[in-house]
Amino acid sequence: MAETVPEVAGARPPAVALEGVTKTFGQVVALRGVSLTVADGEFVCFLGPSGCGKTTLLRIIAGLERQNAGAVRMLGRDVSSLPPSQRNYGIVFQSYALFPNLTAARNVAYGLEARRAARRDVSHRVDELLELVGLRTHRDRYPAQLSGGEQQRVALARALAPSPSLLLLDEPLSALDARVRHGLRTEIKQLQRRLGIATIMVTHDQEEALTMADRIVVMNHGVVEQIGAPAEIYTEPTSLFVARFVGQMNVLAATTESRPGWARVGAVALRCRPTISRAAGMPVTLGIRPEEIEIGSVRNVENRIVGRVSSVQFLGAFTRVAVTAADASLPLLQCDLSVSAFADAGIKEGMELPLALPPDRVRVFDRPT
Amino acid sequence: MLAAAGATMPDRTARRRLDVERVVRLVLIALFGALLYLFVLYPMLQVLWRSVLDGDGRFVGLANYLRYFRTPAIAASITNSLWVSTVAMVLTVLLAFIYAYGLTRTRMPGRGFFRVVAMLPLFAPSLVQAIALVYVFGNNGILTRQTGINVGIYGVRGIVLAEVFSCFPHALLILVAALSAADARLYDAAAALGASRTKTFLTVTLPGVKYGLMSACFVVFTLVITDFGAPKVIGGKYSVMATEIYNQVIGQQNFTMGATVSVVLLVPAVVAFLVDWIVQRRQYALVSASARPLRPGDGALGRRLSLGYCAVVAAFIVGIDLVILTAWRSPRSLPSPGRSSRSRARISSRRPGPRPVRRSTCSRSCPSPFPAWCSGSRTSSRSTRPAAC
Repeated sequence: MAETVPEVAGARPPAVALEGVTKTFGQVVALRGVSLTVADGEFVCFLGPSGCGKTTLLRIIAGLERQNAGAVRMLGRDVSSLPPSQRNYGIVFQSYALFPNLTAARNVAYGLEARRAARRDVSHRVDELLELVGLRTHRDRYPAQLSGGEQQRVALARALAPSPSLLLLDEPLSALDARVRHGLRTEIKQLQRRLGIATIMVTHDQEEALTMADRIVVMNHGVVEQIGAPAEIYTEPTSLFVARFVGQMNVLAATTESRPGWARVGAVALRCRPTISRAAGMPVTLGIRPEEIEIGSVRNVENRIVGRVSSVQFLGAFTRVAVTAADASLPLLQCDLSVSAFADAGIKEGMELPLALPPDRVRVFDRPT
Repeated sequence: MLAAAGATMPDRTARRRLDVERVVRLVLIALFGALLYLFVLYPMLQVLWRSVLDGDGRFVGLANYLRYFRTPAIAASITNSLWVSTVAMVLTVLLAFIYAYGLTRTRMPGRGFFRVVAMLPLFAPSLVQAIALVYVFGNNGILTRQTGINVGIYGVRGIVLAEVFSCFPHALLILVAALSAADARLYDAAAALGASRTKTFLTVTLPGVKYGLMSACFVVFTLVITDFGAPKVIGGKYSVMATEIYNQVIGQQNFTMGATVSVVLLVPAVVAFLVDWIVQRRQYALVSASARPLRPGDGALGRRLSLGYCAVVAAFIVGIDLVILTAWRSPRSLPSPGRSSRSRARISSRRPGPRPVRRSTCSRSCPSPFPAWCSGSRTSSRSTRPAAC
């Protein structure tokens, strides 16, 4: 699904194309030469910790902030220096930002009125959109009379009313409580699919990004760390930052051995996923996800470690077991076990547990010195 | 045992502290209650009571009120007061709104300076503003003598001008507070939805300061309608309710009619206060906790326009204050408005209509720089009297 996106992008000019966008606030560099494209109909998430520049990037696309260098193109049109009103997008803010003095219907009509649409068309379109978000009966209520989820749906309807070619979502779900958030997540995704509108969503919630996006742009310190489909980001993180930010990762400080594909952690030599060959003695970081560690198996003879269970954490669908390796140079390892695997192994705190780190799962990252 | 003692000890001290607190509270309530009764409630009840008595102290019901509304000359003071207050309110709030907008929503230079200058009129009562206006625009004022143009400052124009000056800081303080509390997200939303400047102003800015605007209106209206100084000094023959009370009580020794007018004067003030109170109670949080403060835009045109506007307003305020200061420091070097009062008296004597104040206050000839009828006013502050009187 995600792999087909670049071909679609070739057929039509991308909904958004950023070329070397740079933004500084005084001495602080918020964005450093960001380039990326969003294909027509694609759902892209900007994911990153707070302060990574993802919201600034969205605001630059929206024209609410002006970049210091670089270009913004929409459907092939250079909009770099155009005001927000001439960019044809809809935006939903984190905390709704509905006009408190206008009813739901007037809020939705706002963008249409600003574009001087005929009054009858406006009224018709407002009904249509409130219907779309399931709030037709709430058309005459004021924002203060609506719940958080309802307000955000009105905001969504308001953004979509002028039929924009691009939808921007600035952490639209973070102000809502968990249940409403999950419901609205599916709703937004379905709506986006149905309308086929190119969408950019900013979020710091990796789960949100993984479930909703066609492609994820992971950002850190104003730089794009990795762009890829959710599965790719999760299984093939290209940097340690991405590996640790998306999902859990056991991290082991190691040095490369002279044998290619091997690294040494203290006294233990581990075979790793084959990557670009590095010189011997280079400091690297090894990473393996908790659910990738195998327990008690004897068939895998490579990368075997014996440890002692130091704590057991029940997390519902799976159980997280922390294992202290017998070799003191190895850090505490987290292993996620399915409920049945946990029961089969009969794990108790303090018991000895053999582990295996499958070599093709042990990723190698450069360690900054 | 020990544990129990340990538990009761802090309990007892806490109770003792509560007792002390209660005593202090009661004493303070009694003190302020007595003060309020003595200085507010008692005089007001006296006035209320007086308004239903006749000159000899007999109870006459609402006869005084009937007489008040039936005497055209006196009743005119009601409409005069309402008219002056409304005009001054509209002008003050409009001028202060633009000034406050410049201070809060643009990045014009010298905002701190302009804010301080705008507060200057707070340091002098409206009477002083009026005196300064007489110095400049009066029949024998500086400007009048220099240019030969008499703008006819005595009357509605003068009162409104003086009130605008003295109420400007009050309105400005409220409006600056209202305009400062803006939610940048709403402006972003409006911009993203393609709203024009006008539409943004009408749908985001104005609703956001609605309550501040109403508050400013009520405050200015109440200040103007209850003000005595400015109408007394610069009002000439234009009678408003506050000066009418004075005329009745001091000029004609008619305490009952004075009390009647006082009670009538209380009505618009109380109404304004009540409406303001209700509005404030209904005011919900327009700016929520998640609001982002608005960073003023850096439009050069807006900056220049507001700088020009604020400079003009500030120049007027400083100019008036300079007149007051120079008049106080070197009384002899200024044209003596005392002569002007005589010439004015000549003019006014040609006009029909009684001037009750003159009877009592002009019996004593006084070389005051103010119009002679002003010397009767006990409210004028000593420091602003330039000449030995």
